[in-house]
Amino acid sequence: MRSLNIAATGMLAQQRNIEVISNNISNSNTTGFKAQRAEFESLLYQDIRRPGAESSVNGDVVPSGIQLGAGVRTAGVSRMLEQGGLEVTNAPFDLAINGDGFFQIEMPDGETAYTRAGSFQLNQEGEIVTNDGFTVQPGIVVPQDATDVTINQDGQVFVKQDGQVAPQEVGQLELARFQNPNGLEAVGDNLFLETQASGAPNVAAPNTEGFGAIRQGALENSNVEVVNEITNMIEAQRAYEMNSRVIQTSDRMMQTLNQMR
Amino acid sequence: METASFIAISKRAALERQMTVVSNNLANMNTTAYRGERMIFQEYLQETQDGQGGHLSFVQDTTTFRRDQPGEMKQTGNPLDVAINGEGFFSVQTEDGPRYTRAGNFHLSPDGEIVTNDAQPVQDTNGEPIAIPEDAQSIDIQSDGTVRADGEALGQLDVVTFDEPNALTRHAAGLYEAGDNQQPQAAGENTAVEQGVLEGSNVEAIKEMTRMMDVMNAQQSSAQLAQQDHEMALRAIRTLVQGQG
Repeated sequence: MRSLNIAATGMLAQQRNIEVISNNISNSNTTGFKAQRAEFESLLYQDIRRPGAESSVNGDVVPSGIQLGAGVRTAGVSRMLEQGGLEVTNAPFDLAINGDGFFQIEMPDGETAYTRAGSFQLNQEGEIVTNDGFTVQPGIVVPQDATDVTINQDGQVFVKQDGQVAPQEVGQLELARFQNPNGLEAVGDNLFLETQASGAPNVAAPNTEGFGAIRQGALENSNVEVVNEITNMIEAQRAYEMNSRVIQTSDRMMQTLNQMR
Repeated sequence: METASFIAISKRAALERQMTVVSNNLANMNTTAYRGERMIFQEYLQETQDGQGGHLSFVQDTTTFRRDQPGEMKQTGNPLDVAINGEGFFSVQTEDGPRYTRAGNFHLSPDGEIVTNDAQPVQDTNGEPIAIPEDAQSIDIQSDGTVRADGEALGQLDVVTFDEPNALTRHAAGLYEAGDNQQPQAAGENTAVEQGVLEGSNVEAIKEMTRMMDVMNAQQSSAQLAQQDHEMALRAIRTLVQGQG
Protein backbone atom coordinates (compact mmCIF):
# COMPACT_ATOMS: atom_id res chain seq x y z
CA MET A 1 0.00 0.00 0.00
CA ARG A 2 1.30 3.40 -1.04
CA SER A 3 -0.38 5.12 1.90
CA LEU A 4 2.01 3.46 4.38
CA ASN A 5 5.09 4.98 2.75
CA ILE A 6 3.39 8.30 2.16
CA ALA A 7 2.47 8.60 5.84
CA ALA A 8 6.06 7.68 6.71
CA THR A 9 7.34 10.60 4.60
CA GLY A 10 4.85 12.82 6.44
CA MET A 11 6.08 11.67 9.84
CA LEU A 12 9.71 12.15 8.81
CA ALA A 13 8.98 15.68 7.60
CA GLN A 14 7.22 16.60 10.84
CA GLN A 15 10.06 15.12 12.85
CA ARG A 16 12.49 17.38 10.94
CA ASN A 17 10.12 20.27 11.63
CA ILE A 18 10.17 19.58 15.39
CA GLU A 19 13.98 19.33 15.31
CA VAL A 20 14.26 22.76 13.70
CA ILE A 21 11.69 24.24 16.11
CA SER A 22 13.40 22.81 19.18
CA ASN A 23 16.74 24.19 17.99
CA ASN A 24 15.11 27.61 17.61
CA ILE A 25 13.60 27.47 21.09
CA SER A 26 16.84 26.38 22.71
CA ASN A 27 18.60 29.29 21.00
CA SER A 28 16.00 31.89 21.92
CA ASN A 29 18.60 33.60 24.13
CA THR A 30 21.65 33.07 21.94
CA THR A 31 23.30 36.32 20.84
CA GLY A 32 22.92 36.96 17.10
CA PHE A 33 20.99 33.73 16.48
CA LYS A 34 18.70 33.68 13.45
CA ALA A 35 15.59 31.50 13.60
CA GLN A 36 15.31 28.73 11.05
CA ARG A 37 12.37 27.31 9.19
CA ALA A 38 11.94 23.89 7.64
CA GLU A 39 10.43 24.11 4.17
CA PHE A 40 8.44 21.27 2.70
CA GLU A 41 7.51 20.36 -0.82
CA SER A 42 5.41 17.64 -2.37
CA LEU A 43 7.17 14.59 -3.79
CA LEU A 44 6.74 13.39 -7.36
CA TYR A 45 3.38 12.52 -8.84
CA GLN A 46 2.51 9.29 -10.54
CA ASP A 47 0.21 9.63 -13.53
CA ILE A 48 -2.40 6.89 -13.46
CA ARG A 49 -4.33 8.75 -16.10
CA ARG A 50 -2.75 11.87 -17.50
CA PRO A 51 -4.76 15.08 -17.50
CA GLY A 52 -5.45 16.00 -21.11
CA ALA A 53 -5.53 12.39 -22.25
CA GLU A 54 -8.19 11.59 -24.82
CA SER A 55 -11.02 9.52 -23.45
CA SER A 56 -12.60 8.64 -26.81
CA VAL A 57 -11.82 8.59 -30.52
CA ASN A 58 -13.90 11.76 -30.87
CA GLY A 59 -11.11 13.63 -29.13
CA ASP A 60 -12.88 14.16 -25.81
CA VAL A 61 -10.30 15.20 -23.28
CA VAL A 62 -10.08 14.00 -19.68
CA PRO A 63 -10.42 17.22 -17.69
CA SER A 64 -8.17 16.38 -14.77
CA GLY A 65 -6.90 12.80 -14.84
CA ILE A 66 -5.68 10.72 -11.93
CA GLN A 67 -2.43 11.80 -10.39
CA LEU A 68 -1.29 10.14 -7.20
CA GLY A 69 1.25 11.95 -5.06
CA ALA A 70 4.04 10.17 -3.24
CA GLY A 71 4.23 12.23 -0.06
CA VAL A 72 6.34 15.11 1.15
CA ARG A 73 10.00 15.95 1.62
CA THR A 74 12.00 18.59 3.43
CA ALA A 75 13.24 20.87 0.67
CA GLY A 76 15.46 22.96 2.86
CA VAL A 77 15.94 24.71 6.13
CA SER A 78 16.16 28.42 5.56
CA ARG A 79 17.17 31.15 7.94
CA MET A 80 14.99 34.12 8.82
CA LEU A 81 17.35 37.08 8.54
CA GLU A 82 15.25 39.67 10.30
CA GLN A 83 17.14 41.91 12.70
CA GLY A 84 17.05 40.69 16.29
CA GLY A 85 16.31 43.21 19.05
CA LEU A 86 19.24 45.20 20.46
CA GLU A 87 19.95 44.77 24.13
CA VAL A 88 22.05 47.43 25.83
CA THR A 89 24.81 45.92 27.98
CA ASN A 90 27.25 48.87 28.16
CA ALA A 91 30.21 46.50 27.97
CA PRO A 92 32.81 48.21 25.73
CA PHE A 93 33.44 45.21 23.52
CA ASP A 94 29.80 44.16 23.07
CA LEU A 95 29.09 45.15 19.48
CA ALA A 96 25.80 44.84 17.67
CA ILE A 97 25.27 45.27 13.94
CA ASN A 98 22.21 47.37 13.21
CA GLY A 99 21.49 46.37 9.63
CA ASP A 100 23.11 44.01 7.20
CA GLY A 101 26.54 42.40 7.52
CA PHE A 102 28.73 39.98 9.46
CA PHE A 103 31.87 40.35 11.54
CA GLN A 104 34.83 38.46 10.09
CA ILE A 105 36.53 36.02 12.44
CA GLU A 106 39.87 34.33 11.80
CA MET A 107 39.58 30.65 12.66
CA PRO A 108 42.55 28.67 14.05
CA ASP A 109 42.97 26.96 10.64
CA GLY A 110 43.33 30.31 8.90
CA GLU A 111 39.87 30.25 7.33
CA THR A 112 37.53 33.21 7.73
CA ALA A 113 34.23 32.65 9.51
CA TYR A 114 31.38 35.13 9.77
CA THR A 115 29.21 35.99 12.76
CA ARG A 116 26.67 38.49 13.99
CA ALA A 117 27.29 37.66 17.65
CA GLY A 118 29.41 40.59 18.78
CA SER A 119 30.14 39.67 22.39
CA PHE A 120 33.88 40.25 22.08
CA GLN A 121 36.68 40.44 24.63
CA LEU A 122 40.38 41.21 24.77
CA ASN A 123 43.01 38.45 24.90
CA GLN A 124 46.29 38.59 26.80
CA GLU A 125 47.89 40.61 23.96
CA GLY A 126 45.09 43.17 23.92
CA GLU A 127 43.62 41.89 20.67
CA ILE A 128 39.84 41.93 20.15
CA VAL A 129 38.72 38.28 20.10
CA THR A 130 35.50 36.23 20.30
CA ASN A 131 34.36 34.27 23.36
CA ASP A 132 36.40 31.36 22.01
CA GLY A 133 39.55 33.47 21.61
CA PHE A 134 39.45 33.72 17.81
CA THR A 135 40.69 37.02 16.39
CA VAL A 136 38.17 39.49 15.03
CA GLN A 137 39.63 40.65 11.72
CA PRO A 138 41.56 42.78 10.98
CA GLY A 139 43.17 42.07 14.40
CA ILE A 140 42.88 45.31 16.29
CA VAL A 141 45.17 45.64 19.32
CA VAL A 142 44.10 47.85 22.20
CA PRO A 143 47.16 49.23 24.05
CA GLN A 144 47.54 48.13 27.65
CA ASP A 145 47.46 51.63 29.08
CA ALA A 146 44.22 52.57 27.33
CA THR A 147 41.70 53.99 29.75
CA ASP A 148 38.77 54.23 27.44
CA VAL A 149 37.77 52.46 24.21
CA THR A 150 35.22 53.93 21.83
CA ILE A 151 33.97 52.15 18.74
CA ASN A 152 31.86 54.38 16.53
CA GLN A 153 29.08 53.53 14.08
CA ASP A 154 31.55 53.35 11.20
CA GLY A 155 33.61 50.70 13.00
CA GLN A 156 36.57 52.93 13.86
CA VAL A 157 38.19 51.96 17.16
CA PHE A 158 39.51 54.84 19.26
CA VAL A 159 41.42 54.57 22.52
CA LYS A 160 42.22 57.18 25.09
CA GLN A 161 45.58 56.75 26.74
CA ASP A 162 46.86 58.27 29.95
CA GLY A 163 48.28 61.72 29.46
CA GLN A 164 46.75 62.24 26.03
CA VAL A 165 43.94 64.62 25.30
CA ALA A 166 42.70 63.38 21.95
CA PRO A 167 41.56 59.79 21.42
CA GLN A 168 43.72 57.86 18.99
CA GLU A 169 42.47 55.58 16.23
CA VAL A 170 43.92 52.09 16.54
CA GLY A 171 41.96 50.29 13.84
CA GLN A 172 38.92 49.96 11.65
CA LEU A 173 36.47 47.04 11.87
CA GLU A 174 35.09 45.75 8.61
CA LEU A 175 31.90 43.89 7.82
CA ALA A 176 31.17 41.30 5.15
CA ARG A 177 27.93 41.00 3.19
CA PHE A 178 26.72 38.19 1.01
CA GLN A 179 24.43 38.19 -1.99
CA ASN A 180 22.56 35.23 -0.49
CA PRO A 181 23.21 35.10 3.28
CA ASN A 182 20.75 32.19 3.47
CA GLY A 183 23.33 30.08 1.66
CA LEU A 184 25.96 30.41 4.42
CA GLU A 185 26.92 27.22 6.20
CA ALA A 186 26.41 27.29 9.96
CA VAL A 187 29.27 25.61 11.81
CA GLY A 188 28.13 26.17 15.38
CA ASP A 189 29.41 28.70 17.94
CA ASN A 190 27.33 31.34 16.09
CA LEU A 191 29.77 31.10 13.18
CA PHE A 192 29.08 30.76 9.47
CA LEU A 193 31.28 29.81 6.53
CA GLU A 194 31.14 31.01 2.94
CA THR A 195 29.71 28.53 0.41
CA GLN A 196 29.06 28.51 -3.30
CA ALA A 197 25.42 29.24 -2.60
CA SER A 198 26.16 32.32 -0.52
CA GLY A 199 28.44 33.91 -3.11
CA ALA A 200 31.73 35.65 -2.32
CA PRO A 201 31.86 38.12 0.58
CA ASN A 202 31.72 41.82 -0.16
CA VAL A 203 33.81 43.57 2.48
CA ALA A 204 33.51 47.23 3.46
CA ALA A 205 33.42 49.55 6.44
CA PRO A 206 30.22 49.57 8.51
CA ASN A 207 27.60 52.25 7.88
CA THR A 208 28.49 52.53 4.19
CA GLU A 209 25.98 51.74 1.46
CA GLY A 210 24.11 48.54 2.23
CA PHE A 211 26.10 47.81 5.39
CA GLY A 212 24.75 48.04 8.91
CA ALA A 213 26.08 50.37 11.59
CA ILE A 214 27.98 49.24 14.69
CA ARG A 215 26.45 49.89 18.10
CA GLN A 216 28.93 49.72 20.93
CA GLY A 217 27.68 48.48 24.30
CA ALA A 218 24.80 46.52 22.82
CA LEU A 219 24.19 42.95 21.69
CA GLU A 220 21.84 41.65 19.04
CA ASN A 221 19.38 39.23 20.60
CA SER A 222 18.15 36.09 18.98
CA ASN A 223 15.28 36.82 16.54
CA VAL A 224 13.37 33.70 17.62
CA GLU A 225 9.80 34.48 18.62
CA VAL A 226 9.01 31.83 21.16
CA VAL A 227 5.23 32.20 20.85
CA ASN A 228 5.42 31.48 17.12
CA GLU A 229 7.70 28.52 17.73
CA ILE A 230 5.32 27.01 20.28
CA THR A 231 2.33 27.31 17.92
CA ASN A 232 4.40 25.78 15.13
CA MET A 233 5.37 22.97 17.49
CA ILE A 234 1.73 22.23 18.33
CA GLU A 235 0.88 22.16 14.62
CA ALA A 236 3.80 19.88 13.86
CA GLN A 237 2.93 17.51 16.69
CA ARG A 238 -0.69 17.18 15.54
CA ALA A 239 0.40 16.63 11.96
CA TYR A 240 2.78 13.94 13.19
CA GLU A 241 -0.05 12.22 15.08
CA MET A 242 -2.36 12.33 12.07
CA ASN A 243 0.26 10.75 9.86
CA SER A 244 0.75 8.00 12.41
CA ARG A 245 -3.02 7.41 12.33
CA VAL A 246 -2.74 6.95 8.57
CA ILE A 247 -0.17 4.22 9.18
CA GLN A 248 -2.46 2.51 11.70
CA THR A 249 -5.41 2.72 9.33
CA SER A 250 -3.40 1.34 6.42
CA ASP A 251 -2.28 -1.47 8.68
CA ARG A 252 -5.86 -2.30 9.61
CA MET A 253 -6.90 -2.23 5.98
CA MET A 254 -4.20 -4.72 5.13
CA GLN A 255 -5.28 -6.83 8.09
CA THR A 256 -8.82 -6.92 6.66
CA LEU A 257 -7.41 -8.14 3.37
CA ASN A 258 -5.35 -10.82 5.07
CA GLN A 259 -8.36 -12.16 6.92
CA MET A 260 -10.30 -12.76 3.73
CA ARG A 261 -10.68 -16.24 2.43
CA MET B 1 -21.34 -16.40 -10.37
CA GLU B 2 -18.28 -14.53 -9.15
CA THR B 3 -19.75 -11.14 -10.07
CA ALA B 4 -20.34 -9.94 -6.50
CA SER B 5 -16.69 -10.63 -5.73
CA PHE B 6 -15.57 -8.78 -8.83
CA ILE B 7 -17.64 -5.77 -7.87
CA ALA B 8 -16.12 -5.87 -4.41
CA ILE B 9 -12.65 -6.02 -5.96
CA SER B 10 -13.36 -3.02 -8.20
CA LYS B 11 -14.34 -1.13 -5.06
CA ARG B 12 -11.26 -2.19 -3.15
CA ALA B 13 -8.88 -1.11 -5.93
CA ALA B 14 -10.56 2.29 -5.97
CA LEU B 15 -10.46 2.57 -2.18
CA GLU B 16 -6.78 1.81 -2.07
CA ARG B 17 -6.13 4.70 -4.43
CA GLN B 18 -8.35 6.93 -2.38
CA MET B 19 -6.35 6.04 0.70
CA THR B 20 -3.23 7.08 -1.24
CA VAL B 21 -4.79 10.45 -1.99
CA VAL B 22 -5.89 10.96 1.64
CA SER B 23 -2.50 10.01 3.06
CA ASN B 24 -0.73 12.29 0.56
CA ASN B 25 -2.96 15.16 1.68
CA LEU B 26 -2.16 14.52 5.33
CA ALA B 27 1.57 14.19 4.64
CA ASN B 28 1.46 17.61 2.95
CA MET B 29 -0.45 19.35 5.72
CA ASN B 30 2.43 21.80 6.22
CA THR B 31 3.64 22.08 2.63
CA THR B 32 3.66 25.64 1.30
CA ALA B 33 0.71 26.34 -1.03
CA TYR B 34 -0.19 22.65 -1.27
CA ARG B 35 -3.67 22.00 -2.66
CA GLY B 36 -5.54 19.03 -1.26
CA GLU B 37 -6.96 16.47 -3.65
CA ARG B 38 -10.05 14.35 -3.78
CA MET B 39 -10.86 11.30 -5.76
CA ILE B 40 -14.00 11.18 -7.87
CA PHE B 41 -15.66 7.82 -8.42
CA GLN B 42 -17.88 6.86 -11.28
CA GLU B 43 -20.22 4.02 -11.89
CA TYR B 44 -19.12 1.68 -14.62
CA LEU B 45 -22.14 -0.20 -15.94
CA GLN B 46 -22.00 -3.54 -17.63
CA GLU B 47 -24.97 -5.37 -19.09
CA THR B 48 -25.85 -8.63 -17.45
CA GLN B 49 -25.37 -11.76 -19.49
CA ASP B 50 -28.97 -12.92 -19.28
CA GLY B 51 -29.91 -10.32 -21.89
CA GLN B 52 -32.82 -8.94 -19.91
CA GLY B 53 -31.44 -5.45 -19.81
CA GLY B 54 -30.14 -5.58 -16.25
CA HIS B 55 -26.90 -3.79 -15.38
CA LEU B 56 -24.03 -4.56 -13.09
CA SER B 57 -22.56 -1.53 -11.45
CA PHE B 58 -18.81 -1.52 -10.94
CA VAL B 59 -16.94 1.38 -9.45
CA GLN B 60 -14.16 3.22 -11.22
CA ASP B 61 -12.02 6.09 -10.04
CA THR B 62 -12.01 8.61 -12.85
CA THR B 63 -10.17 11.65 -11.65
CA THR B 64 -8.25 13.22 -8.84
CA PHE B 65 -9.74 16.63 -8.31
CA ARG B 66 -7.82 19.50 -6.76
CA ARG B 67 -9.58 21.70 -4.26
CA ASP B 68 -8.77 25.22 -5.33
CA GLN B 69 -9.76 27.06 -2.17
CA PRO B 70 -6.76 29.10 -1.05
CA GLY B 71 -4.79 27.94 1.96
CA GLU B 72 -4.44 30.15 5.01
CA MET B 73 -2.06 33.08 4.70
CA LYS B 74 0.77 33.01 7.20
CA GLN B 75 2.71 36.14 8.05
CA THR B 76 6.46 35.45 7.98
CA GLY B 77 7.99 38.91 7.55
CA ASN B 78 10.61 37.49 5.19
CA PRO B 79 10.93 39.86 2.18
CA LEU B 80 11.24 36.99 -0.29
CA ASP B 81 8.16 35.14 0.94
CA VAL B 82 5.35 36.06 -1.43
CA ALA B 83 1.81 34.77 -1.66
CA ILE B 84 -0.80 35.20 -4.36
CA ASN B 85 -4.05 36.54 -3.00
CA GLY B 86 -6.64 35.37 -5.52
CA GLU B 87 -6.27 33.20 -8.58
CA GLY B 88 -2.92 32.80 -10.26
CA PHE B 89 0.49 31.18 -10.40
CA PHE B 90 4.08 32.39 -10.48
CA SER B 91 6.02 31.42 -13.62
CA VAL B 92 9.21 29.46 -13.08
CA GLN B 93 11.90 28.48 -15.59
CA THR B 94 13.00 24.88 -15.35
CA GLU B 95 15.15 22.60 -17.46
CA ASP B 96 11.97 20.98 -18.75
CA GLY B 97 10.33 24.25 -19.82
CA PRO B 98 8.00 26.66 -18.09
CA ARG B 99 6.30 25.56 -14.88
CA TYR B 100 3.84 27.34 -12.62
CA THR B 101 3.65 27.42 -8.85
CA ARG B 102 1.84 29.12 -5.99
CA ALA B 103 4.59 28.35 -3.49
CA GLY B 104 6.26 31.73 -3.06
CA ASN B 105 9.03 30.84 -0.61
CA PHE B 106 11.73 32.29 -2.82
CA HIS B 107 15.43 32.75 -2.23
CA LEU B 108 18.33 34.53 -3.87
CA SER B 109 20.86 32.66 -5.97
CA PRO B 110 24.59 33.47 -5.61
CA ASP B 111 24.08 35.80 -8.61
CA GLY B 112 21.24 37.60 -6.84
CA GLU B 113 18.45 36.14 -8.96
CA ILE B 114 15.10 35.34 -7.34
CA VAL B 115 14.83 31.54 -7.39
CA THR B 116 12.65 28.79 -5.92
CA ASN B 117 13.78 26.33 -3.28
CA ASP B 118 15.21 24.18 -6.06
CA ALA B 119 17.16 27.08 -7.58
CA GLN B 120 14.86 27.53 -10.58
CA PRO B 121 14.64 31.20 -11.61
CA VAL B 122 11.31 32.96 -11.18
CA GLN B 123 10.31 34.84 -14.35
CA ASP B 124 9.28 38.40 -14.83
CA THR B 125 6.66 39.43 -17.40
CA ASN B 126 9.34 39.43 -20.14
CA GLY B 127 10.32 35.85 -19.35
CA GLU B 128 13.61 36.91 -17.78
CA PRO B 129 14.90 36.20 -14.25
CA ILE B 130 14.88 39.11 -11.80
CA ALA B 131 18.30 39.90 -10.32
CA ILE B 132 18.67 41.95 -7.13
CA PRO B 133 21.81 44.15 -7.09
CA GLU B 134 24.34 43.16 -4.46
CA ASP B 135 24.28 46.45 -2.57
CA ALA B 136 20.48 46.56 -2.27
CA GLN B 137 19.35 47.32 1.25
CA SER B 138 15.67 46.58 0.92
CA ILE B 139 13.50 44.51 -1.40
CA ASP B 140 9.91 45.59 -1.90
CA ILE B 141 7.38 43.59 -3.85
CA GLN B 142 4.21 45.46 -4.70
CA SER B 143 0.75 44.01 -5.08
CA ASP B 144 1.03 43.97 -8.89
CA GLY B 145 4.24 41.92 -8.54
CA THR B 146 6.70 44.74 -9.27
CA VAL B 147 9.99 44.03 -7.49
CA ARG B 148 11.86 47.09 -6.26
CA ALA B 149 15.30 47.21 -4.67
CA ASP B 150 15.90 50.46 -2.78
CA GLY B 151 12.95 51.96 -4.65
CA GLU B 152 14.20 51.12 -8.13
CA ALA B 153 11.91 48.86 -10.17
CA LEU B 154 13.71 45.75 -11.43
CA GLY B 155 10.89 43.82 -13.05
CA GLN B 156 7.41 42.51 -12.52
CA LEU B 157 6.79 38.96 -11.32
CA ASP B 158 4.83 37.10 -14.00
CA VAL B 159 1.56 36.07 -12.38
CA VAL B 160 -0.65 34.06 -14.73
CA THR B 161 -4.02 32.33 -14.66
CA PHE B 162 -5.49 29.49 -16.67
CA ASP B 163 -8.97 28.76 -17.99
CA GLU B 164 -8.97 25.33 -16.42
CA PRO B 165 -6.51 25.21 -13.52
CA ASN B 166 -7.66 21.70 -12.68
CA ALA B 167 -6.31 20.42 -15.99
CA LEU B 168 -2.74 21.39 -15.08
CA THR B 169 -0.41 18.44 -14.55
CA ARG B 170 1.09 18.27 -11.10
CA HIS B 171 4.79 17.80 -10.59
CA ALA B 172 6.95 17.46 -7.51
CA ALA B 173 7.76 20.50 -5.37
CA GLY B 174 4.45 22.27 -5.99
CA LEU B 175 5.08 22.85 -9.71
CA TYR B 176 2.39 22.61 -12.37
CA GLU B 177 2.72 22.08 -16.11
CA ALA B 178 0.29 23.65 -18.56
CA GLY B 179 0.62 21.21 -21.48
CA ASP B 180 -0.45 22.07 -25.04
CA ASN B 181 -4.14 22.56 -24.37
CA GLN B 182 -4.01 25.85 -22.58
CA GLN B 183 -1.96 29.01 -22.56
CA PRO B 184 -1.19 31.19 -19.55
CA GLN B 185 -2.88 34.59 -19.41
CA ALA B 186 -1.86 37.56 -17.35
CA ALA B 187 -3.74 37.57 -14.04
CA GLY B 188 -6.66 39.93 -13.65
CA GLU B 189 -7.20 42.77 -11.23
CA ASN B 190 -8.53 40.55 -8.47
CA THR B 191 -5.14 38.92 -8.04
CA ALA B 192 -2.69 40.60 -5.70
CA VAL B 193 0.84 39.64 -4.67
CA GLU B 194 1.49 39.91 -0.94
CA GLN B 195 4.99 40.28 0.41
CA GLY B 196 6.11 38.73 3.71
CA VAL B 197 3.29 36.20 3.58
CA LEU B 198 3.20 32.51 2.65
CA GLU B 199 0.18 30.52 1.58
CA GLY B 200 -0.22 27.43 3.72
CA SER B 201 -1.58 24.08 2.67
CA ASN B 202 -5.37 24.04 2.14
CA VAL B 203 -5.73 20.52 3.55
CA GLU B 204 -8.49 20.34 6.16
CA ALA B 205 -7.20 17.78 8.61
CA ILE B 206 -10.57 16.92 10.16
CA LYS B 207 -12.14 16.18 6.78
CA GLU B 208 -9.19 14.06 5.75
CA MET B 209 -9.34 12.08 8.99
CA THR B 210 -13.07 11.38 8.59
CA ARG B 211 -12.49 10.48 4.94
CA MET B 212 -9.84 8.06 6.08
CA MET B 213 -12.31 6.41 8.51
CA ASP B 214 -14.81 6.18 5.66
CA VAL B 215 -12.25 4.49 3.44
CA MET B 216 -11.45 1.97 6.14
CA ASN B 217 -15.09 1.15 6.84
CA ALA B 218 -15.90 0.88 3.15
CA GLN B 219 -12.96 -1.41 2.66
CA GLN B 220 -14.10 -3.64 5.51
CA SER B 221 -17.63 -3.81 4.17
CA SER B 222 -16.41 -4.69 0.69
CA ALA B 223 -14.27 -7.43 2.21
CA GLN B 224 -17.38 -8.68 4.00
CA LEU B 225 -19.33 -8.61 0.77
CA ALA B 226 -16.73 -10.78 -0.93
CA GLN B 227 -16.70 -13.09 2.09
CA GLN B 228 -20.48 -13.48 2.08
CA ASP B 229 -20.48 -14.13 -1.64
CA HIS B 230 -17.88 -16.82 -1.08
CA GLU B 231 -19.91 -18.43 1.73
CA MET B 232 -23.05 -18.28 -0.37
CA ALA B 233 -21.29 -20.18 -3.13
CA LEU B 234 -20.06 -22.75 -0.60
CA ARG B 235 -23.56 -23.19 0.82
CA ALA B 236 -25.03 -23.56 -2.64
CA ILE B 237 -22.53 -26.28 -3.52
CA ARG B 238 -23.22 -28.15 -0.25
CA THR B 239 -27.00 -27.93 -0.67
CA LEU B 240 -26.79 -29.09 -4.26
CA VAL B 241 -24.52 -32.01 -3.36
CA GLN B 242 -26.82 -33.03 -0.48
CA GLY B 243 -29.86 -32.76 -2.76
CA GLN B 244 -28.23 -35.14 -5.22
CA GLY B 245 -27.40 -37.70 -2.54
